[in-house]
Amino acid sequence: MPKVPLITNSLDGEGFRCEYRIRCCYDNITHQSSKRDKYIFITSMSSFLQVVTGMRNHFHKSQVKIVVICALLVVLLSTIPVIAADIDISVEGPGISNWIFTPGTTNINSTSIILNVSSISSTWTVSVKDAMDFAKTSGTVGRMAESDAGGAYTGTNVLGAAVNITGPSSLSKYTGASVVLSGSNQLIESGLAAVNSEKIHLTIRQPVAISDPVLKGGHRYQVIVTYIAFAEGGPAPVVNGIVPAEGITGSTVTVTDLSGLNFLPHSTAVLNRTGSTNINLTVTGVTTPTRMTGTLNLAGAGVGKWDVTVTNPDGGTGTKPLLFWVKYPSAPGIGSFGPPFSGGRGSTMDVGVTGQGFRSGVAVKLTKGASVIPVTVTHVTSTTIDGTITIPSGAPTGLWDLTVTNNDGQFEKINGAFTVQ
Amino acid sequence: MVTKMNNPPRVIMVIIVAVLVISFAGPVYADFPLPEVPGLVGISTVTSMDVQGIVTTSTSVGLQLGSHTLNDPPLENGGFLWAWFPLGPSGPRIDGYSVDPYVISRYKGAPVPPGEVQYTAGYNEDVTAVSGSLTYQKTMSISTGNKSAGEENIGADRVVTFTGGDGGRMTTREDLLLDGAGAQTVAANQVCCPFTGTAGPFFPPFCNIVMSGSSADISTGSISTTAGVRFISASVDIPVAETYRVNVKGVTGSGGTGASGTVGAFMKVNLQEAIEQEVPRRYVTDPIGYIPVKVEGLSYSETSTASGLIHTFTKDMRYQSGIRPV
Repeated sequence: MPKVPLITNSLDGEGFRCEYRIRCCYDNITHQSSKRDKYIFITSMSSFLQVVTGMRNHFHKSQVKIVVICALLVVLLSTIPVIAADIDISVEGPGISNWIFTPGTTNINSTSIILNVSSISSTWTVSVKDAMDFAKTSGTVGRMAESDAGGAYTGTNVLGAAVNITGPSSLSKYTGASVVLSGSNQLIESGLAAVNSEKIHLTIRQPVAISDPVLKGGHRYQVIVTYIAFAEGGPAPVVNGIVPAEGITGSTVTVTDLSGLNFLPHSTAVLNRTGSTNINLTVTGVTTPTRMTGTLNLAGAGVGKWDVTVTNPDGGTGTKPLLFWVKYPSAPGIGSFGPPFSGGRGSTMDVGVTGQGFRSGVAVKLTKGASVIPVTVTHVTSTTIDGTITIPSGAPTGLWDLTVTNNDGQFEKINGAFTVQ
Repeated sequence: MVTKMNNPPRVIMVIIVAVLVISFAGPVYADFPLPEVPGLVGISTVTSMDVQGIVTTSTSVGLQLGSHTLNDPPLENGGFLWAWFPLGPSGPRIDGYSVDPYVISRYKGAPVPPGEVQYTAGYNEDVTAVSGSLTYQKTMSISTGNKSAGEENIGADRVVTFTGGDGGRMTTREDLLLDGAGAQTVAANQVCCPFTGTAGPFFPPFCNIVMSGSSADISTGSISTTAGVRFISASVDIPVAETYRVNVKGVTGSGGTGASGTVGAFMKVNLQEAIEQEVPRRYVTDPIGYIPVKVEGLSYSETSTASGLIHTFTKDMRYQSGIRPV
């Protein structure tokens, strides 16, 4: 049973008070593998931000100042079951006291809440969400709602805007993000190196509108913030698919779903193949263990099928071969072919194909069932293909199909285009 | 020679000028002449007779000229064979002919097939006269050289006058044939007239037969005929033509005002013409091709016959076909 310390602190000043209370905390360890280095440790803890409103007579017409008493929690599990966690976090700091809200503005505090992170893993993240604990009224996610003195939600008054929490971005090892608490599992901080009791100042923003419910003195508002810490060290990523699975060379493709397993927040993805420069996926959005999103810049990209490789920060990689198809804007189109009749089996003849979208490196063949007559291409323009064929002496007579395949793999096939006599 | 007709029917028939002029102008519907071949042949005869007694004479001419081997069907189309797929994979293959530079380039080394044309012309004449007085004057000319408008490759002009005695009788028959058949032929460099345009690179196929002629079985009368066909010219500007004219009337001073007996003249025509239909293309950059499509058939037959005392029997028949009518 984790410790749940309760801290109560009363402050002087205009009759307001501030409370720090720990509402709950817990640790969640997900067992991914029997091997030690295959564990993913997820530590979650919650704190609540509590506000007690000031006196009504402190409201002014243009600038209503409300002294706010708030609390953030210091949470640290005393014991970790089975094995030591790769990451531990706590929320500490002096807390926010006597925070004066100015309706009609966004109220900011960037000094009072400190995230303390210790991670033995090189890659870690901290996300936040409103878990709607303690029977918080639905429809109030991320927003401060009125509670009684015991911290129970009364369901009476709710602020109009959600709390905004931002991690610092000035440190090179952090990728701070600003998130609105109304989202789910939103990343506010991450690192690419192990840290030991790294203290990270969070910035709390609370927009307050004139139209917000009247904050009467003595009323209490709170929102419970759940912090989720994540450390890497798990299995190698697995790539299953990518949407879209093709793109036009020279264009920028928005990848809406690079799906797989064991992706990490700092995982990278590339299109790769032998002899070509990798094409990086510029990750956008939040990477989840099963999904990455981003953009692929296909400027100058060679056409054809590419492998898709995801690399986790710990070096683990996963590749699915020939998953992404870089194509020309259009497939080849066959408009005419000739001569349409052979001069007889065993003969060699010049042939020509006209159409559109032919590319250098185009391949042409005549087929009839399993029989193939390759066309030796001698000259190609975008609208014509010149070549020669030799009709094998044993070639079956009758109609043969014509297939033109560009070097990107796009092709067109015309049935019965050629007659072997 | 006694000129007498025993109770001839007192029928006076006057048929004045029946003319058939068939001309198809423009590049779509027409046959056209062939150029002469090396080794020209010219035959010219003049026959003159003034006879009391029995006369028989006959003439038979057959002239055949082709751009390729004669009598070796089927006729070969001009241009290179090519296949089009106007609807891509979901549509049919359409085979047609083309002289597009790209198509020619893929048949490199091979001259563009010009297309095959073949003509047969014939002329036959028979005269048999007994028991009477006959004068016969005929000029016959045959030439395999190029002819211009107004000239003929086979030409026959004759005047026959017969005054029969008792039982005297003359029969004569003369007919003219022009039979032309052409496959699709390449039009380039065949037209001299700079103002004669061609709708496409090919002249369409044709198959036209024209026959005309006359016959007579008279005891008295004078017959003049003019027959001519033309189908050999240096360029296709000159239309092919068949002309036949017959004029029958009485013998001056024979006591009558007309010919006595039976005369007839005929013309039979069967024409089949085509157009060149452009093959639909999937892309504008595809070569242009054509398919010949038969679009017209004409069958024409006209026969005129007169029996009795024939004051005048005249029939003038002309057939002309070419891209530039004259």
